[in-house]
Amino acid sequence: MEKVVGRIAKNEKLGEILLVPLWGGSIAAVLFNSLFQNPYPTFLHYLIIFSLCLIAGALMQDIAKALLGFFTAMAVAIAILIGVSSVPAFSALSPEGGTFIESLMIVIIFQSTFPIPFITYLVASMIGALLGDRYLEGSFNLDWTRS
Amino acid sequence: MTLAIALALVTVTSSGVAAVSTANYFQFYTALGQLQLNLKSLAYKTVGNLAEANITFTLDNPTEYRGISMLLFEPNFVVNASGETVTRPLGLSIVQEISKLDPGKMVRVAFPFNSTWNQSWQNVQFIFTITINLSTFLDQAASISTTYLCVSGGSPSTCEQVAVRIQGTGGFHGGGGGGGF
Repeated sequence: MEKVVGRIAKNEKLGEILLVPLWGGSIAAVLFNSLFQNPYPTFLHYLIIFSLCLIAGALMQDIAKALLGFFTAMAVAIAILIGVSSVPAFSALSPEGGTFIESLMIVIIFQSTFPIPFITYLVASMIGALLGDRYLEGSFNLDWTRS
Repeated sequence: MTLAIALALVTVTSSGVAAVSTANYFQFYTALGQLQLNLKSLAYKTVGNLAEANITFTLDNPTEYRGISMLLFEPNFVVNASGETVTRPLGLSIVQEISKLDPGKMVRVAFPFNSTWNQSWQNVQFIFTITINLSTFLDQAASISTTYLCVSGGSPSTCEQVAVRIQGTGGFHGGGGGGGF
């Protein structure tokens, strides 16, 4: 475990590559919480995702990387959301019912994500990247085994 | 470093919370298909060619899914007697208080019936078609109802689910189609 963490800490590229699915996964997790209960996100959900984008952007420390990371993370999040929300419908409902639920979920997910929230998260990622570039020194360090 | 830990903490926490709601969601469609409606009692007495009845149904959720409630109970039934259908269909709409259908919880619906027409009440068979409108987490995007068929000669019986209807509402412009089992 220590070896793995050490390797990630030394390798900036690997850290950034690992950050993107973590970023996408956490956005998906927050949206799952709203989707399966409401189904539209509340202000708190939007605020958490905004904060996640701010933090992830800061960890990227570079506008271009943050932009690419954000688009990839959002694609990962939406793919996970559509996949996970559709699977039980296809296994429990008729094929027509499954297709209908999949369409419904896609509409809900896109209405929850586009366009204003998407732009807001994008801006948060950019602000995070600017702040990270300016105030965080060196490459981002995931090595918590050494202080 | 602090930011990386913060991101990891938010991810772990939100994933933990999401895992619970996702696991619950995975039982949602199964729960819709397994909601069990039973005709608990059908006590009727005849007065000449008229009849009075007290009818009681129970609805329960045998799955572990949490988040379904009953909004509206709409029984519709005909009575077969002496080997032929002799009544006209009776439509009722019983507005319930929102009744949560949590696991293991049983919701009871009772309503009286008075025949307003003369008919023979020999070898009676009640045929109920019951539509139940449900409240779910999808309320803002879709309405869900389920239909049951129950046949009884006056004794308790188990109803058979014949359809689950999911229809888009409000902001959903995906065609408004329905899904069934």
